[in-house]
Amino acid sequence: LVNTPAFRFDVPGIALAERVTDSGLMNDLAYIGLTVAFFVLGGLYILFCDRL
Amino acid sequence: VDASGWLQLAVYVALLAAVTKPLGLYLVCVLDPAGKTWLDPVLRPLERWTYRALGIDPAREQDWRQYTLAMLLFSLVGCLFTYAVLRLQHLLPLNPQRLGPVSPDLAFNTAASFTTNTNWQSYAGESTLSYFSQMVGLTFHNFVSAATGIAIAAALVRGLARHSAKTVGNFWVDLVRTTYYLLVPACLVFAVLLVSQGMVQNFRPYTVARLVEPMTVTVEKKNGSGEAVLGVNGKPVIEEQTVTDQTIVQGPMASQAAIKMLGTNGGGYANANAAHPFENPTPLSNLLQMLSILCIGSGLTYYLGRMTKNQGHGWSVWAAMLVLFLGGVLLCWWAEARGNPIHQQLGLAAADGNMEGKEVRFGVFNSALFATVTTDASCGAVNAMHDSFTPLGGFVPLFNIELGEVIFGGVGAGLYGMLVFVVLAVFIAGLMVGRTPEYLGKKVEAYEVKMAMLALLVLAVSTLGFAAWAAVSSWGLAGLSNAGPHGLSEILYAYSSANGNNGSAFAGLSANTPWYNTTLGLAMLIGRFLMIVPILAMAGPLARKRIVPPSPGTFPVSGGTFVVLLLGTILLIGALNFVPALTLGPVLEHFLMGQGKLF
Repeated sequence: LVNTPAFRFDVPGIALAERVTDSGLMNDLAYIGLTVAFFVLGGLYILFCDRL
Repeated sequence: VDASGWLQLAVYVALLAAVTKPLGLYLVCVLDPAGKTWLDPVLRPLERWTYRALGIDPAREQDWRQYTLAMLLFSLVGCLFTYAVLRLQHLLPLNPQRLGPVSPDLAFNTAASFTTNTNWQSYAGESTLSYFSQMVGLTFHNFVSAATGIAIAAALVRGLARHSAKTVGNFWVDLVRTTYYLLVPACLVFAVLLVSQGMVQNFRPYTVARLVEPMTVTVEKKNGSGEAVLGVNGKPVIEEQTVTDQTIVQGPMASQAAIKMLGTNGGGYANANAAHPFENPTPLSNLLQMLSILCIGSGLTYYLGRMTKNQGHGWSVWAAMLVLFLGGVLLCWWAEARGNPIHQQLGLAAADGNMEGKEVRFGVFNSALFATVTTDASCGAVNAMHDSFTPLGGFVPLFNIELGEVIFGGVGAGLYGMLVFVVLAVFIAGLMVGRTPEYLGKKVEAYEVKMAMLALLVLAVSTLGFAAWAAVSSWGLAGLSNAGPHGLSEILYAYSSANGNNGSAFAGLSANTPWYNTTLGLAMLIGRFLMIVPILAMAGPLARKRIVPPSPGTFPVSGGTFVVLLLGTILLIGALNFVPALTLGPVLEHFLMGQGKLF
């Protein structure tokens, strides 16, 4: 997880954290978080369909 | 439109019809945990060992919630695994080109792409991914994402075939058996066949050849991660490069190409995909690849008939698929053979039709047939560049994807997508005659129709929503190579392809940017999993229902009337969802081309 370019979303908080940590780790955390969040949503969708 | 094309079309359809029954019967054995196949002596011990190693009880079936949750968890782990492989490829083995780590947004896009059986590629495989990434990170998904699709279709068919049952099968058993008994053996044979045609299969570093005469090319400027550098106006920066060497790509191509086609994955080893002479060397390899895309989807219709004890229904679904397939091929072929009228006005010979973006080896017919086949299924492999098709020629693959790729379709995904339309068709038929709709002896009630609509609407909402966002955003417009309706088609195609889990692209869009990579990655996940959940939610309650004996008021789900009703339902829903957008894209471009305007 080295030599990654700076995070490119224009989200002030994340951009600031990126500058402070000076690494690409925030990128990875953001995308891993996005992936996990999506699949959690998929799990909740099971409950939604079940109750419809 | 010549006799040779008609003959090739007839041969293709005859071969597809011929493999349908044997494959369907084999699928019945594979998707039955107690089913016997001729591979049992070799694979049964391996299958048992796999269950023991993973702690799976193959005799324990799951209800639809457990089945869906298992599928989601498996896909999540696979997605994160591929993300890690791509980000760490510079530290992993089998990287003779010493390629660096894939950027985070591209790694997310690619992991989502291969997990969802989309295989959209915002990168050139030969210059971005190591052999390890190609073989472990991606080919692994080529197998298991295809097996997942077949497993979901099998669960839905069990829901239809069973009565008064609480379970729809065991996801792990379906996954293991489909991979071991169907995909791996078929791919081994197919890969050897492809190697016999001259396809490359090795681990050597790329060969560098010096050009006899250096040439200057104009290309988009790329940063260290291989992404296009954008200028102050948001457009890609263009630079001139003098080329003195040619890098000749090689590697384990045949093994990846086999599953890429049979599993309707479509991700090319090389950027040019099946247009590359190493990835599609001969006319026979071209025919075999096209056949392999649709054969499992076609066999699954026979599986449907056999499992539901209504073979006429299976063949009727097959017939509806064939009608849509032929309609697409003929329109695309006619449009491409007719060529560009502006060329004709300029006095240029149009005897060969529109040859821009096509391999001379394959010509107009085989390009049109390949484009139709690959978008009827959720494959996405290409042997010609769809962006260079005439507007109506390009309309066909785009519309095929937007119909949900139910024309034989992706492995498993085509059948479960088509069965959603069947549920809606019998519901509409029931409304027309004023009786409770029944499908294969089961009453179709409000819940099933709600689930069917959720499955269909998620595709339309996600495709059109993301495309609209991109079409009015600076990040979306920055990636366009063409203005006007053709530019809209490029954006619409990208999000249709992502949501439909197809993976083919209109080549004119520079999509390897953080925004495109992220939104397309999300679109792929939405198009795959938010469609599958309501479909499995439909399978569970259907399995619980009792079977009602047929009565004079029962709408038959086999025969001509059913086929016509099913076709009407598919086209009507496709038209309602997407024709307004298509009118502003390829349809408008077609009329403007007639007036001498090109984009």
